[in-house]
Amino acid sequence: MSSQNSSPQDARHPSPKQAIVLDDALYPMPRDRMTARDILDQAGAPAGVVLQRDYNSPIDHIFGDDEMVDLREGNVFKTIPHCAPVPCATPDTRPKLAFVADDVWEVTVNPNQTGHSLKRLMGLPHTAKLFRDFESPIDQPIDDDEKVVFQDGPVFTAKGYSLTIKVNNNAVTVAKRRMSGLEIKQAAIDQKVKIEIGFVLYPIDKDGNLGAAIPDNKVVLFHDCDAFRCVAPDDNS
Amino acid sequence: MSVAIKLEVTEAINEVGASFPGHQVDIEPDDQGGAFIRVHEIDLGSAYKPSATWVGFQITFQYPFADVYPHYIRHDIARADGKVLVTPFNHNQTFALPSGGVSAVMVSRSSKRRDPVTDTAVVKLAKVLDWIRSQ
Repeated sequence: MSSQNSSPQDARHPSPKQAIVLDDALYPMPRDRMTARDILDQAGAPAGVVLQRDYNSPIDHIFGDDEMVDLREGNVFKTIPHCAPVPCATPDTRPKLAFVADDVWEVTVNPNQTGHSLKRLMGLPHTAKLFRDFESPIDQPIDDDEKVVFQDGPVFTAKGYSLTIKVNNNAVTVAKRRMSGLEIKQAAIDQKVKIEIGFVLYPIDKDGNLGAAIPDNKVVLFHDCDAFRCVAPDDNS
Repeated sequence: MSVAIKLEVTEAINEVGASFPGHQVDIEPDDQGGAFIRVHEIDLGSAYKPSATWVGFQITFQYPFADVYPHYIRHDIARADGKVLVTPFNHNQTFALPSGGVSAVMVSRSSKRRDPVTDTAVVKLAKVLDWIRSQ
């Protein structure tokens, strides 16, 4: 049964958390039905834009500011310069759906997943334990073979897993998939990798090639076995 | 008698080439086991005019136990805001290729705490480019 998140919150039946992806950035939302302008306001969008739902087709739905938006029908949006509303009337188009786990999102058009397929979609290790995130301290565990319907809530947390990355060829175990450059260095130092916090961090791709330096404040999304090089900065001479 | 490029130097050259796909990479042996490398069309960003340059350096036969340093860029590079390039930029230098010297600006950034295992030639090049772009 699908939840009805738009009604006032009931402590006995907490609502699933809601989130949208707007212009490739993630924003939490307080409920699943809101006006387009409320959504834009919560995302900090400027006044001169309108909300456009992103479909898996060239024809997207442009909402009027006062139009009610049901996030359960699709939570991926763009902003465009102010214009008249345009409904998406093509019957075979499917809205893009962003599933979210630990502030990482992946987009699909398939609302019907399983715990297993969702972990695969999100790039989580098979050992991860998935929970649907509710507006309450108690979240709902999701088994691998359990059906997961987008309309029941797109936000999840993953627990009980670790990833192993490599820093200067040393294995470093981390318990989350998003870390800043500073956090990666600190995790490596904590695990006895011989680097210093002031060193320069670089990603290494699967072919062994060096990417652009990762600043301390840049958050990186990584996967098991990702590799990094961390070296002392240079001096003028 | 000329000495062939050492295996370690060849591997370093290959890493540089792989990290700059699509860029022309010129290699000249230094006849001592090392080589001179020049990577073309490197973008330094809008802070520089012209914004693209070649970057040259020598990987000596002591590599990986010797630093890869200094690096050279085109001689007519300047800051777009008109400010003067100061140390470690050194004007009126020559990148001394065996085939003939090339006028250049030398960028003198040394790695005093380098680790021969992790501070490879391509890492050094990345650090130098990051530093130039951040100025």
